[in-house]
Amino acid sequence: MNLIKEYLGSIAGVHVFAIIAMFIFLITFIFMIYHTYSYRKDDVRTYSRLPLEEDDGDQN
Amino acid sequence: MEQEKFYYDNTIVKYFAYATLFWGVIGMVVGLLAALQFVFPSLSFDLAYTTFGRIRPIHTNAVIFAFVGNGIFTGVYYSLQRLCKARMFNDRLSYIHFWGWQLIIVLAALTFIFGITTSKEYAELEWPIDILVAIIWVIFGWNMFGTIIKRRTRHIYVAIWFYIATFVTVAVLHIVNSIAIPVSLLKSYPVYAGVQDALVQWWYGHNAVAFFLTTPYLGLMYYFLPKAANRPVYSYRLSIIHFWALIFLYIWAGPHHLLYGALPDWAQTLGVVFSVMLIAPSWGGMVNGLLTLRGAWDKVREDPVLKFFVVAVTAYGMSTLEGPMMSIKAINAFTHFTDWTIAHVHVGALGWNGFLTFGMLYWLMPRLFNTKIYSLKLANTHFWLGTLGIIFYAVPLYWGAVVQTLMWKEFTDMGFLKYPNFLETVTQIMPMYIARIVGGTLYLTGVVIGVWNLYKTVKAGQFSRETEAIAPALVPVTSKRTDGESRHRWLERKPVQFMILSLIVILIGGAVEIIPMYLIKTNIPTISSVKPYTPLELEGRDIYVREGCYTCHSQLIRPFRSETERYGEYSKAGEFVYDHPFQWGSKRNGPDLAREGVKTGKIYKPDSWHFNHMMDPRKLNQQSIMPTYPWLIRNDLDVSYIARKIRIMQSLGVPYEEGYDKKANADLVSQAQQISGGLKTAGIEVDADKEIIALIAYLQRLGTDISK
Repeated sequence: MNLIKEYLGSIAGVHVFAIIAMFIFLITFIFMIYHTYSYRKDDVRTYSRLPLEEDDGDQN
Repeated sequence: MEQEKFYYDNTIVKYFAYATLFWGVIGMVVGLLAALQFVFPSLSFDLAYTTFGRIRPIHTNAVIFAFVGNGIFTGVYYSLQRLCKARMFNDRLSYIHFWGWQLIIVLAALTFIFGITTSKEYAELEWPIDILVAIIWVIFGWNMFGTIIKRRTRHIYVAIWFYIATFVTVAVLHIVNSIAIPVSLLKSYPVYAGVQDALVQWWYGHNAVAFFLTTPYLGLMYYFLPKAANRPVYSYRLSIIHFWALIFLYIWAGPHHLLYGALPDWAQTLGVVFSVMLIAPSWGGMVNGLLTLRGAWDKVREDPVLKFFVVAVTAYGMSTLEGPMMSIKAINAFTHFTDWTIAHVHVGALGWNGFLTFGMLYWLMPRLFNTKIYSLKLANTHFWLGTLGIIFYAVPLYWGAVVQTLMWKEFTDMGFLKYPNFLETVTQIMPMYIARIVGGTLYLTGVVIGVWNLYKTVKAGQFSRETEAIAPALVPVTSKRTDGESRHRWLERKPVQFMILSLIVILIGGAVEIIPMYLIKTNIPTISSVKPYTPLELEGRDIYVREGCYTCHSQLIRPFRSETERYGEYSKAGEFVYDHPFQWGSKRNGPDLAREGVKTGKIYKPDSWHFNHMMDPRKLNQQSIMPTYPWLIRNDLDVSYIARKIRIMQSLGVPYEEGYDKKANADLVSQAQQISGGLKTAGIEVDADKEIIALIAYLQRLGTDISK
């Protein structure tokens, strides 16, 4: 633990990791949008209807 | 393809639904009592068990973990089986989960009544119950994953993603925030201290809101709203983006609870930036929910279920805009420690969680009991009483918060505080506290009508213990990615890998914020004059924790002139290094106590004042709303654990000299006699071995280290 402590503590501007993390988020976010829109329309329609598929004797 | 016949378990859903209603009423009645105590302090009944400091955690925990918790499980046990086309993995696990959870709630209520608390908000449970929570939570997760694994559908619907994220994140939050060293069966000290403890606690506290009050309910929204509207969710693509963006961003936002506190600037900035970014996924989710009703708005006029859902989703949108706004430092300077926070959380709890729960129950119970809602008229009455209740609850508190914070910050032309007496700012907003009672009563009346309506629905119907369903078995495919299958599509059929990825996503934010706080010394500059508490002060501090003083008094002076003028020098990170747990608080119903003991300070009071004030605050000031604490004068101080407490503190890095545990009791007695002797000269006869002596010792120590 001490080793990590000394190592991290000695990095100048260690807080830049926060900015790196933000970039990780942005890249992931952009990738997710790209990925989501690459779905086939039919598949999306099927998935979104999953809750409506079952018929468990709706009364109301 | 061969069809398989199987049965959904409805009994477990019914059990959780009943528990939701039962604990909902209890939690809200306790909340109403707490609200009444602001206006009628005598409703503390001069009893330890019913003081605000003890019932406030009962109210918050009952609403969050008992009402909303059981609501989550009701919806999850119903929807998960149907979305997976499979019965729950193991019935026995379901019922262990149910009874275990109810046992935890009862133990929580009992321990809080008796002042057994860690004082960490929404994590007040002591260590044995924490362990029980972890076990029961794992049982829930085990049962859920077992069900997902034996499902008969290939794709895992987005609602289940939210359930998975809830399970994994709550487990991480609970374990990390609860790490403590036991003093006895019912008392422990957290391993974290001061600023670190505050950061871990609010990383937990904020994400308890995120992953207990938000993500599971979003899962329920994505299932029950399409069911009730009888149309699929507006955009499934948006729901996927909503999910990943939300779970990634939420985990970073915790430090916004500590703005202008003794937290390093970089951590505060991170909290603010991520909080503001949270608007995007939150509103994406809200828009997705509301647009699901496209073409069905005419139904909203008639169907009380949809009415409840529309207000719930709107309340979600309001609180998720308000939250990020309150995270902006300039706005937070204005709203923090005031009733704005209380109004904000109640828009979320009463609107989003409460209304989604009741919408779900009005939809669910008639289906479980093969009947119709007993009375649509009563359901509509419930809806309107609830909606008006939310407005009458929140608006007066917003108003009161603005008035009070302006009074705190107002100066005369001569540069003095215009309202130097804190109590003036409380009595000024008393009408708002009365209006809040009206709002709460309206909401609770609606709930009682709702419970009656559902009771009559249950009585009129015939319960189906199981629902028969038929679906083809899932043909196994390779566990590797198939040709043309994208990574995420593969992930959407692999629940365990999905959980691991969710875990990584939520760990990034927590790790970036918390780890540097431990590893980089410059984050908490040491102050050489800051010394450990004396044994008597340590015992007094434990009484302060037991009585829940932190629920009304902060110990954190922010670097504003209005605060330093009122309370004294602003708080420094290095002053809290021996505070296991920290006691910064989150709301000022009374003044800040961070510099209470500074003799030359702005708010110093002699020992005799504290004694009389604890006996009866209204003898010193008729308008005070603080409870009386006569038992502190009657009770003998329990010193049987003092040596162990010192040893634990030593093991946590508090620099008591070697072997001090053996001398601690003698020092304790000597300091107690000194205080008791001082009180005697002021005309107060009290034995040195009473609890009040220890509490006075602690209060007189507060904030004194840096003025030595």
